[in-house]
Amino acid sequence: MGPPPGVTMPRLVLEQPFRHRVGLLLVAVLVTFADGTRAQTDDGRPRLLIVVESDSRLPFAKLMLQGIEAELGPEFTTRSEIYVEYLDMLRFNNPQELALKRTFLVKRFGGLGLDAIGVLGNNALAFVTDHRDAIAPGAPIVYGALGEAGLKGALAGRTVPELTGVISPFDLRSTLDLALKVQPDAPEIVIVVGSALFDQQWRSAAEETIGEDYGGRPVRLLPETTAEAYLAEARAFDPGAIVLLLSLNFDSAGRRFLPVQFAKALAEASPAPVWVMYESQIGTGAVGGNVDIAAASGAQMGAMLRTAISGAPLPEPVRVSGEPTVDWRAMRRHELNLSRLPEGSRILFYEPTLWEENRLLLLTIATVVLAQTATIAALLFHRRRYFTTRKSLESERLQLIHISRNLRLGQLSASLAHEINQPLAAILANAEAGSRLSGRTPPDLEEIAAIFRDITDDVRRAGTTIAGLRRLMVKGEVAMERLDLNEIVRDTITLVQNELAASGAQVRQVLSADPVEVTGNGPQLQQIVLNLVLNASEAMEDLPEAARIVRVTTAALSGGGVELTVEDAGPGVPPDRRDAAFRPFVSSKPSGLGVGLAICRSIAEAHGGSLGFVGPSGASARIVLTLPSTRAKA
Amino acid sequence: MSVVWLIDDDAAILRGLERLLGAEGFETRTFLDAASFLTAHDPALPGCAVIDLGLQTSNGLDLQDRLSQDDAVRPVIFLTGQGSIPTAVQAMRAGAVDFLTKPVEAAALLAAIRSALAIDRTRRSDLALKQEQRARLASLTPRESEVLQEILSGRPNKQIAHRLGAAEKTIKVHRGRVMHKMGLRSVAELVTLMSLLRDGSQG
Repeated sequence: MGPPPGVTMPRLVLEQPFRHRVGLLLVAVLVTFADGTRAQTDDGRPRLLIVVESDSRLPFAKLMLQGIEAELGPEFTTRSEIYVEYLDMLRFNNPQELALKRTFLVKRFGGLGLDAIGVLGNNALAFVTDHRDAIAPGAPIVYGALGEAGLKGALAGRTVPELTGVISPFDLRSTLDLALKVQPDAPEIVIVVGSALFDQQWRSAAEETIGEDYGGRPVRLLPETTAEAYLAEARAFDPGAIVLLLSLNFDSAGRRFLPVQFAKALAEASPAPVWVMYESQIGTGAVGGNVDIAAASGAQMGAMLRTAISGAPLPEPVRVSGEPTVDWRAMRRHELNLSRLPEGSRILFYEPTLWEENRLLLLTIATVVLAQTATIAALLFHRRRYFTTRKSLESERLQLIHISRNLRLGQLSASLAHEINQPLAAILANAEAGSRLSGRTPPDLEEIAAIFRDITDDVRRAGTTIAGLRRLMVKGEVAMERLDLNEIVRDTITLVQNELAASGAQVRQVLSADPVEVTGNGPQLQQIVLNLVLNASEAMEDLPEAARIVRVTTAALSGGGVELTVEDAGPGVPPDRRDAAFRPFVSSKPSGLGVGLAICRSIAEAHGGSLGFVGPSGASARIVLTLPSTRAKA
Repeated sequence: MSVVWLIDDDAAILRGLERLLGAEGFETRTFLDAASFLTAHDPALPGCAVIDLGLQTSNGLDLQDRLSQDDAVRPVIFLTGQGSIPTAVQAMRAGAVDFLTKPVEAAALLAAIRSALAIDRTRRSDLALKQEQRARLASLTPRESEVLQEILSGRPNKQIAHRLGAAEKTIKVHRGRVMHKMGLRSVAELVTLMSLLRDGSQG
């Protein structure tokens, strides 16, 4: 919505003649006449003139010009001529000045055959429409930086051909609505506006559209005074009030201000949040407003200007709506709640938290740390596996010497060691390399990822080797024969007498009186007995020597099978760890047989039997081997 | 730049070692077997070799033997998955710098490589010195060589003059030329040098 009808409107503050600012703009060659024909100047370059009501310092005008230039793009701006002239109408607004300006523009551009004219500001639009025929006869005009009312005032009821543009909201009610949403408890609304002609237009608009009461709050429109007096009064504002700065280009003493400067001073002085009408004033300390996005409006003007230069029919004027926009820092300073903002509000100057600001950095660091941790974890894990494996292998070998030279595990373990050491060596080297690489800045994440893939592959490789070994252990060429389990127990315990003595454990053999017949492989069954007995004796290392008793029982089951039970006085294996105990390389003891139980169970299963812990834990551990009896099998 | 030549028939290990050594700033060349290594191997390049003892096609010790035939004997570090004492002894006797079991600790491997490279540098500078001295020796005239042999035998000028049928003064001149050409100042230096060269030609 525009300022009140009939009032010319807020737009840019103007002043200061052309001058710098040239960097922003550019220009043109082909001239489109009102009748659609094109005049061409010598060089064939499109020529575009942009007339700015204000001087070059006004941020709103700068943003609009940037928007126009950005939309036209570098390709256009290099092959064309873009001229920018600042009328500075705020300071030079009397008829003589305007006549001078007209003469100047006619002299400079009259013969160039401009292709289009862009106009920023309603007063400039009035000027350009008045003098178009002299400056660039028939050139299309594209306006912007003006409100609905400003447009009406500029045209003064005339029908102007070849005219289009962008109409900004400049709507103080929508800003007040936004302020009321954010400050629902505001006791009053204070409006500050200056003394320039342009400021007066805003004042009238406020009087007409807002009146003395808005949204149930009293509205106080401060009378014209000096800037100092405004600021002095501002210091006494109720901190809960809504302060709305419309425009202040001159104060009552006739001193010139850039509205941005005054907005900053006002926001500093006022304990209450200051709301503004222009995007460019957000960032001065003002809280925000429902403002026209100058760059976006400029871009729309740019698109229209391109159409105008091409000679195509001009598009209809466009009305843009303001965007609720706030300064996060000011919101915070006044302890205003961001959640009260309408959806889609723009929040400027948001100071991200450490996390947000350094997201990439932190993510990188996190990745590195993670990678390092994983590398180290993998390294430790595999080292542990390695050592566990190694110990068990040594241990196995040691026993096998006792048991049987025919059993192949001795040779197997050597080749097993090699087969496992290969992937372990690769894993270790990769892990070490990974931990070095991850310490670099920046880490080579691709290479680190490749390292992890290789480590994973090598782990699988080692796992495959072990699985293969277990199959070999139980499926090798083993001769099955009819055996007496009692005999196996006796032989085995004799063989490992030395180890048992070293552990201080006594073995009580409670063997069934009759032979316990099974069909199986002697060395393999011996291995089971050996493992179970040694495990049992080792489990009691913490007990007093007298209490270290291993009880080995054999029995023929009434159901047809046979059973070997090994029981110790140790703490036993908790039920929840019993399954794990049969997985390879799991051991609770430093000297444990990480592989032993796994292999034993495999052997038992290969014999058609089973091996497992039974009974409650706590007082003792009891492990039972069950095998089908020869009779049952036969 | 020294090169670490890695020979292992396990590609995964090669990759891991290559990465590890690369991360430590070493230049590496990797080979899956002895034959391809020997084809690419340039004995003139400084560096050392890390060889898996259990290469399938060629025993690591054989490879070491083959390498020791070069003038600049390539320092060798052995890796093994199943080190036995006899092979370790044999390898060390044949001049291996170190004998490490897999999985090898990075620190141990890096230390071994660093010392191997140091050994290689020393050998190379010794070799360069020997070559220079051989060149000097070759520049002697037949007569000067005779005189040199006589000097080494410890004979005084007078005796040499007599044995070679020349004037003592002439022998003095020859002797001066020999010492000058060899870049030496004393007979002691000459003796040391000659015994060094003899050792070198035997090794």
